[in-house]
Amino acid sequence: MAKLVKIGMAGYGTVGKALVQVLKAKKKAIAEKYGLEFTLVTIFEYDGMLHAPKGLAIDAVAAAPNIRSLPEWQAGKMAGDEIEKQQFDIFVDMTPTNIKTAEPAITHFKRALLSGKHVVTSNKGPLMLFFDEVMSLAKKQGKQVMYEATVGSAIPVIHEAQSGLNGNPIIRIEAILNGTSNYILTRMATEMMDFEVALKEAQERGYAEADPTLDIGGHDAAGKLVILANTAMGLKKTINDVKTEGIEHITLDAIAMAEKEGFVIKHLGIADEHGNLEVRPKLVPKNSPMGAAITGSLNAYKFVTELAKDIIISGRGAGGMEAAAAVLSDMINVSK
Amino acid sequence: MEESGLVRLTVLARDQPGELIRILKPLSEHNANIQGVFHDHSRDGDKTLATGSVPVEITFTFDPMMSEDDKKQRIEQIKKDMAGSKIQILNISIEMEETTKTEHVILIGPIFETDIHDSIVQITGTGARIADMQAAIASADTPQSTVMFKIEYEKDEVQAALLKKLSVLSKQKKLKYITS
Repeated sequence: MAKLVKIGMAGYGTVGKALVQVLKAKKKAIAEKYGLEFTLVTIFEYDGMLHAPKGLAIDAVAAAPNIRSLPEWQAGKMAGDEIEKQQFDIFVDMTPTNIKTAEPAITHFKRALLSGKHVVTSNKGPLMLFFDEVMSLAKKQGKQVMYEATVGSAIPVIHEAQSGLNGNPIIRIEAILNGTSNYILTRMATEMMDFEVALKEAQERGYAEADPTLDIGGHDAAGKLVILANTAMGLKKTINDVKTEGIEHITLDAIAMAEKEGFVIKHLGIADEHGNLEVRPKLVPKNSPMGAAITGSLNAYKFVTELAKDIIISGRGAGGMEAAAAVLSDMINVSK
Repeated sequence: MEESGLVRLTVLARDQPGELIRILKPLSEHNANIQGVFHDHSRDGDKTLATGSVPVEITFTFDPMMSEDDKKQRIEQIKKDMAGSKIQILNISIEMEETTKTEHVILIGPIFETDIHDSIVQITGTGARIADMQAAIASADTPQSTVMFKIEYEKDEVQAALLKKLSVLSKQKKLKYITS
């Protein structure tokens, strides 16, 4: 008999929809392998909620072109008022990141924790601005906040930082944290394409947002670096503590000169031995593991550890299904 | 600074047959590779030295593959063995040598309009040397100038000063910089 775990989720965009598809497709496998039965009771959206106290029919939700057309839809019922009242075990936040205030997610996190729910999130905002506050509240409430999807999507860097390297302290992190800026720099280097042309191509292929400021300006990477460094190195930083410089000024001449001297330019997030955080373009030796091999929208993470020196993990750091996989992994871990 | 691995040992030798072999024996027992032996007769008559004695300077190395800890242990053992054989050590030191390190720096922006000579003076003022330079001057096609310096230095303090200077320069002259 599988353990019933009730889920309330917020945000039904790319990640939210991918999670519903995964929950539908993997239902049997999750029950068999982990002894868990995830039951979705609520989907909160910005204009209402889809809610059934005993559980929504996952097949119907997954098949609906618009959840607002389902009979369980209640327009105007908002997460801020409902989270504390409703009965579910895990609040899963997949709403977009608000880099300035982290709202409304930060309020939702607090209400979920205060009403005895675990939190799983792909939304970086609350953790890049209020990491210490959120973790302290979770500890006080005896609940967990899980956030693997916030950094590197399905690449298990948060897991490594939290417990995979127990007893082997991480003393420095160097990481390519943003797929969009890495895609642009890769195209500039391999095709000798101007920054503007590479950015336009990234937008056309769906790698960059219409407003790419957060990616190319280094702010998205800075937020991820804060979450990773706080986790790995026990820091209490916020995004405001990160020195951030973008890639928009990089010229083709710079790319060519770097190439001639055996380097590639990468947009690196660095947490140094003194706990200083910065995101900036750096010259990386072409043949190093963080160099020319990390192409396109790939992410790469180098942990410099006290006992085992360098440990490097790379993979696809973005995408709805990748983020949903990370969210599911957290849901399983928190329910065990 | 890094160790060159050359050990310089000065002992007081009695001026008698077989003395040199007696002195070198503890070294060969610990696999020291003797580089040179120098009898310092300039101190003949030095009243601080025992009559009939002469300082002998021996330079030697160990297998470069040997770990630093292993080398240090062997030196300690040599000192003990020499003390046991009543060989007086006047001095022992591991020679240090300075190794040159390289930092590549790219500057982007109004480099020529903001006095590149002054920028170079400020960079070299940190103790770093500019070993090579490439430049691409702004044009209609490339509105930003780009310069790459290959910079050499020996001491870590110079690197720290260089990075600080680049940060100041970039703010002063509205330049962007990328380091290795």
